Amino acid sequence: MSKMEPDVLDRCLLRIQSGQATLEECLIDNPEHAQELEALLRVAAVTRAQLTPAGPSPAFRINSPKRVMNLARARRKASVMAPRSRPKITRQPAFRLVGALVAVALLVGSVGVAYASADALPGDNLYGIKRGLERAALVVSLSAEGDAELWLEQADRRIAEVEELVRRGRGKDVGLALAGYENAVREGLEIASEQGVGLSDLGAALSKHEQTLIEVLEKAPEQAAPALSRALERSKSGREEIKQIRKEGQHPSDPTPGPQKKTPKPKKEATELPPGQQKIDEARERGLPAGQLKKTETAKSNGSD
Amino acid sequence: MSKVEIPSPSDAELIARAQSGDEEAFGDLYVRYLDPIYRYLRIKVDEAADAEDLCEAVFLRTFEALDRYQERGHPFSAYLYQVARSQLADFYRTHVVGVDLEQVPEPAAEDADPEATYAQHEQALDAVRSLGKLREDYQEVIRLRVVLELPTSTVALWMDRSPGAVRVLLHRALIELRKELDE
Repeated sequence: MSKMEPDVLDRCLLRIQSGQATLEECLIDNPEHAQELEALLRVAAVTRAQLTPAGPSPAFRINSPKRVMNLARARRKASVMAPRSRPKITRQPAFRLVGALVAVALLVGSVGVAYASADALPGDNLYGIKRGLERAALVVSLSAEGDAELWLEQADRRIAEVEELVRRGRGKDVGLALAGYENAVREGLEIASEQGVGLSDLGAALSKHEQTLIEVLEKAPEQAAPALSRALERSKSGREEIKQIRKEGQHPSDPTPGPQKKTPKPKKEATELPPGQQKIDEARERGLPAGQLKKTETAKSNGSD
Repeated sequence: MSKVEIPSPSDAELIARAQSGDEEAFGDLYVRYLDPIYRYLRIKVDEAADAEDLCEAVFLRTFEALDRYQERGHPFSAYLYQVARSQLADFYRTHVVGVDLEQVPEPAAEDADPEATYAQHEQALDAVRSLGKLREDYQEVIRLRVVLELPTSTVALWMDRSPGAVRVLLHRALIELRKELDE
């Protein structure tokens, strides 16, 4: 009797697992190895039967992704907002000078890199830095208006990137820019729908994007066409959603639609935040617990009176 | 059955979207791989609650590292598997190592024959004990290929071996397991 090849066992296991054959059928198909094959397949069957774990519960299946995403968001915010304790370092005067020069050089370098990354396109080395700076801007934004403005800027920027990529014949990199575009539109619409801000600006921008995408689609290489068409659909459906939001009159405070010049809105000042939140934010910035800030403020006002 | 198949949209597409800030895309990846990752963890720990905690830690860590993720020939599921193994290593450092034999679940059919139930429980204990005596890579290939029924190609990527090497490993592992069960 010849020695059984591992392939025979694996093939039989696959057929049994996929329901294409029973153990007995596998043995009939491989009579020369029937004895060994039967022993090993039975070991596999017993092990599987005894050790196969239950899957995740339906509640875990539904709640877990949401919970993890919320946690990730909270951790991201916390890592930006948390004050960092700095170790006290004493240095000799000469080292201080060298340290200061190095710090200046790093600062100039970082600003230079950040500046250079502004023109980066998907696929470029500095593109990750560009997107990272955009994300950082969103994290430190304090108001819904600020967020809406930033998402809109991102959508504009992604469309500009798509135009440039197609102009340079880099169709393979278009998908990443368009994925970012669709995401920015979705986020912008979510804020518009929930907070009632930025509807008009977004509507006007989507019309422009739609026009640009149609023009780009005519010139784009074939590989970029599906992603471009999908982004075009997203712009159209976005405009429909805006119409629907207006029709339902969810946010009568939003200005009526019409051609408007898009002017950057200033971020809401801290004084526009709810008083409690404003104090907590101030305390965080100064590395103080909120309770301590309250005492400090009281002392200040007493002193000034 | 926990099979990792090639779905649509592809992992690469969802990852690109997630990397550009689309949380929904990461949610899709989460749903896609929740089952195999959870089941893998569940085999390795005693309590379902521990498997749930570990599973969430795996996806959270993956999400936080997503900006730096590059496929480099290894699929996303293999990356998740590596993160899962790393989380398990952390878990074992702070918990009692090994499967608690008392925790092997007893079949709980209402009208079950007590004798048959006992025999089945004993078989389960035997399987756990015997598997635990094998080399780690033998245990792993049996867990992935036999218990979780993952395709050989997926097991090969997860274990960073060729499909041929996985077939040989499985063959040897089952021969050793048979010897242990017969003792």
